[in-house]
Amino acid sequence: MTTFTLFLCLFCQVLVVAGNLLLKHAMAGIDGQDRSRLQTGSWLFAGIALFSLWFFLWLDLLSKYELSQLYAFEALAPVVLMASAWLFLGEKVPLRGWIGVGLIGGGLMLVAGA
Amino acid sequence: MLTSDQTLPGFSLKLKLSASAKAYLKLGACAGLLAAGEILLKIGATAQPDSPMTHWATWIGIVFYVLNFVAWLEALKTIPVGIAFAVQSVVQLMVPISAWLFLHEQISSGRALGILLVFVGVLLAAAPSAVADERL
Repeated sequence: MTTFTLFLCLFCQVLVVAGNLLLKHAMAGIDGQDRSRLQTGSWLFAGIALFSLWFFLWLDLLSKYELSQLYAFEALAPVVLMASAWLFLGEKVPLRGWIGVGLIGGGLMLVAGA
Repeated sequence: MLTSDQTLPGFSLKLKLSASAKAYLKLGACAGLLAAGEILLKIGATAQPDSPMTHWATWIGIVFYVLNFVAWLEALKTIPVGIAFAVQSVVQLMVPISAWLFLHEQISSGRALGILLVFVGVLLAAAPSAVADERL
């Protein structure tokens, strides 16, 4: 796998995580929490847009690489989640989180090379 | 007749007792739909690399993805996110095994070891990443 492919795999998971969060917040608006329709609508739209972008990127990657190799990179999603909470909210990552990140990173290096 | 009369009340009692089992069933459906969806997308993308949207498998894959999302939201109404993430990590094994079974992909020992490490990593990261997901 090339460095660019690895970057695309990471970017895909950033899109998925961001899309999920946007849809989650949009749903909370639909469920009657105090949010304007414009805000709910724009989150919904942005979420769907990110998912669409992810989908076409993912399809392109799937046409070039084996699924058993590519799918492992979906494991970057929890890493992106923890990194975002750390970056934007200052949440500390507990030890088991770090061990998880280490195992995912090491495993992905093996998968990328094989 | 007799046996069905005897087993039916027991069965319905069992269903009532395990109300949360329904949520776990949804979670299991999620995992199955996701794995099947990935296989279908891969079939579509391989058959038509330049225009995967013209292949039927891609469209069924999309339907499975959407169903997975609906089942996921349903399951999360009862199951804590941390547990759902942990259960969902089994997909990390289901997808490569299905790719090997149905798409005849060759999985080298290096890749197999990598997938196993990733699986354990996702399992460990399930609880902390669920906390992150809830805060964000």
